[in-house]
Amino acid sequence: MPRSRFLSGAVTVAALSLAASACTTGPAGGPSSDGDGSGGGTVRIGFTSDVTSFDPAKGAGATDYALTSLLYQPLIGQDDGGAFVPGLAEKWTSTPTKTTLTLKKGLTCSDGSPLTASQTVASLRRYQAESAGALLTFGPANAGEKTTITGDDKTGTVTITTSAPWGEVLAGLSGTAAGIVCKAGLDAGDALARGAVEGAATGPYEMAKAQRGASYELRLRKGYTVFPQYAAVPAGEPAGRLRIQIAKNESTLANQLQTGALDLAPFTGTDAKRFGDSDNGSDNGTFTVKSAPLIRHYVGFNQRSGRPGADPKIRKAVAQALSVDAFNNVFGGTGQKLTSYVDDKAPCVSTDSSLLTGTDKAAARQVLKGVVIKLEGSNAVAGGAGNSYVAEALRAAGADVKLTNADNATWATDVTANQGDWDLTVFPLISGALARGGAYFLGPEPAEGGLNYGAVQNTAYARHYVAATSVTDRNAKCAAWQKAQEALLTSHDVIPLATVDVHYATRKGISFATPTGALSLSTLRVTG
Amino acid sequence: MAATSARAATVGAGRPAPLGPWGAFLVRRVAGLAAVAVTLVVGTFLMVQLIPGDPARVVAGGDATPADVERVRHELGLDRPLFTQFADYAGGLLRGDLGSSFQTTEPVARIIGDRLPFTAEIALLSVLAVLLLAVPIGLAVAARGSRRADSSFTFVTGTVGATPEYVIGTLLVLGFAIKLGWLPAAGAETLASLVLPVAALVLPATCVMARIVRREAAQVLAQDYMRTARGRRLSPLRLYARHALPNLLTATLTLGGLILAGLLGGTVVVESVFAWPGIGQRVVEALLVRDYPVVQGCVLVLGLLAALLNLLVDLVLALLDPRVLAGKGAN
Repeated sequence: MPRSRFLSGAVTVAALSLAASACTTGPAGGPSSDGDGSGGGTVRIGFTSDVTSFDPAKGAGATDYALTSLLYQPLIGQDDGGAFVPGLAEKWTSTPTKTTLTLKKGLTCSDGSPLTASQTVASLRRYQAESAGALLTFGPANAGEKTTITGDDKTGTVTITTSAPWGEVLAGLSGTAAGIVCKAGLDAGDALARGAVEGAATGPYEMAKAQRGASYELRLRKGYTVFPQYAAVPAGEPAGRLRIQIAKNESTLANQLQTGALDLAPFTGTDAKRFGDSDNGSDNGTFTVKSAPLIRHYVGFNQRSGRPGADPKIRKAVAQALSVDAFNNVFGGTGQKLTSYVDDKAPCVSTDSSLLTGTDKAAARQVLKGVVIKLEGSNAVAGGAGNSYVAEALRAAGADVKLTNADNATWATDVTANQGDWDLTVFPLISGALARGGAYFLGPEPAEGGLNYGAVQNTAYARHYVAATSVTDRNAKCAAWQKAQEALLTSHDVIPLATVDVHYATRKGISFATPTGALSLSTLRVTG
Repeated sequence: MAATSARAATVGAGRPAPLGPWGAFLVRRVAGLAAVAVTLVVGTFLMVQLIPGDPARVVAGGDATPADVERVRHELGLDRPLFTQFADYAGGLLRGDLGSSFQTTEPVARIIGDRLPFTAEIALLSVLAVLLLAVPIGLAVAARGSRRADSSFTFVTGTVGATPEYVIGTLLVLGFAIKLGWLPAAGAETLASLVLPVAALVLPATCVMARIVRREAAQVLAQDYMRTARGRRLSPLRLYARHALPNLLTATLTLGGLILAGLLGGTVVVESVFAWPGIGQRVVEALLVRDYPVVQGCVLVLGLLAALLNLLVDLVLALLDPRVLAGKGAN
């Protein structure tokens, strides 16, 4: 009798578990339709990291950018090829010292209050004061009061004036960090970073539920029409609800995607292969895989006196010792081989492979034999497998390599803040823009308040960088960028390697655009 | 209970104990707990300082200039002398303030409050399941006394017990979520989500504990009083439940307490495999971004909970076996 009771109890528990399971496991055929009636149902998205800040000006990771871009929309967007497209602003003009943007008519905050030019100005001033990236939006020479931001509520115009010429204002304003925050958010102080503030959103979604570290649910704002107007936005309806789920590893996300608990998940590792061959747009009937550059890897040198990187011959020999194909294969061979320090989605990037030094192991050996090189890299991508390849390639060329595979925080302290003992690094560049990525190769060193971690002294590059960032005319800008990259590449201050791509696997019936190579969830549409 | 106290008093009668055996026992245990707490406070504070990497740089972000980093360092209070930082931390603890996360600015107490129930849920369920499975299995194998059953038991428990939890977790997901589609692969949304993470924790722990129960049970079953009990032709249920089991409880409870304490902090891997939003995952995240207050707070709370659990187990053991009061118990 006790035995049969135990068995019946066990069977009941198992049955209840399975019933509960059936309720939670989503439909395998596409997004569910349990939204609030607006938009195209619910789309479930997985990420491997939690949000660190809901303040767009202080975002630091992929999940931060993904969520805040949905809540706080920038004035403009930047599309493939570098063209700017309307966001909250419908039109704009820009000269090296003055940029004027006109807001779209009838803009509202998520509490229904009108979004005015004055509020937009307040949001941009806060961005200038709070965001580290704002330095390269308004220009290093235009910090603080050297930039004036004014607004006219009657005409709906916002005007930005800089004292020194700077041609990257529009590019800076198109970034997620420059997303416009309404008054409720500006008045909320630190609370804006801790969670979405009611009435603060200007983007297409507002927060419906949040469970830090586990899941977030965003609801499409009723009647929202001012989506960013990228050229490749898919046809279909925006999702009525977006459910963001956090799982710490990609295999877990893949399991959830495969069992129907998710509709979209990003992968940097081999789990992407479960859903297709990881080629852009590959479609296996159930899932589509779309790839975009996540990290741009290049070799950078410590060029301070007494370091091996101070010798141009050694820098060239390092380039000769390395094979970009072999480096790319370390990450599955799906990355893009770089011809500059950013990928080919960046406007004005050099694609001239004649500026690069090819592999010549014999020549490398003649120079590198016996040279002691302290290589420090971040293990954030694939446990530092790329660093290990570079170390082995240099050892094969006769160098005595001491490899430090540090976690990202240690690497950043040692290398980008130059507080460590390092000669060479495999730099994982996140930004895909020439101006932002190129700021690491000129100006003051970290100890003097600058970003030039390797103490690069390339006057030709610096001159052309200033020329490229001081103009707004596209042809003049690209011509200057070409010369700047040539100066940097031919002196081997930077040795381009390859990108590590993120592969977005989506269930059939969902599509989105990746303008300038970056995921834009504002463009996500339910297509079937 | 009265009989137990009387026996305890008898056991402790040989030495001067102005507080009585229970009083002295509690004073010893509470003093030990206080020492553990102080060690944890100092240890966790110093431990995070030894981790290489600059939290101010992590918080400031990749684009930050050195001036931004210094501003953040000042805002976080990391530019003050170490002793001042410790005094602030310890003072905060005395006021019940564990500080705020460097990364998210959330109060650490709220982070722990949000996360701990998830970890406690799978840890407590796992221990319960381990006890309910391991004791009967170990007892049954010992009672059977068959060499073949013993060999099979040793092989299976040795293999499963030595398999890491993440391997078991992955195999469970592959079988029950992906191939059969019976259970969710990850998440914490429903009761069904509990099954696989708890199973991943329970299987190896059950095997380890069942082996210990079997060994203990074999010794108990060979005792004279068990032979006498068998001679009275008692039913097997009565024989084992009334005469064998109570004598296994000391070892079982001691081990159960240790397993629970271990599971509280040791669910990190399982939480990661099953996207379970527990405290273990949060500690790992915080370590990677040098979020000192979160690491300190979580480690401190987990450490104190483990110490409290051990105290609770000691109290239960003292109730069951008064020799423990005099420090002569089985544990």
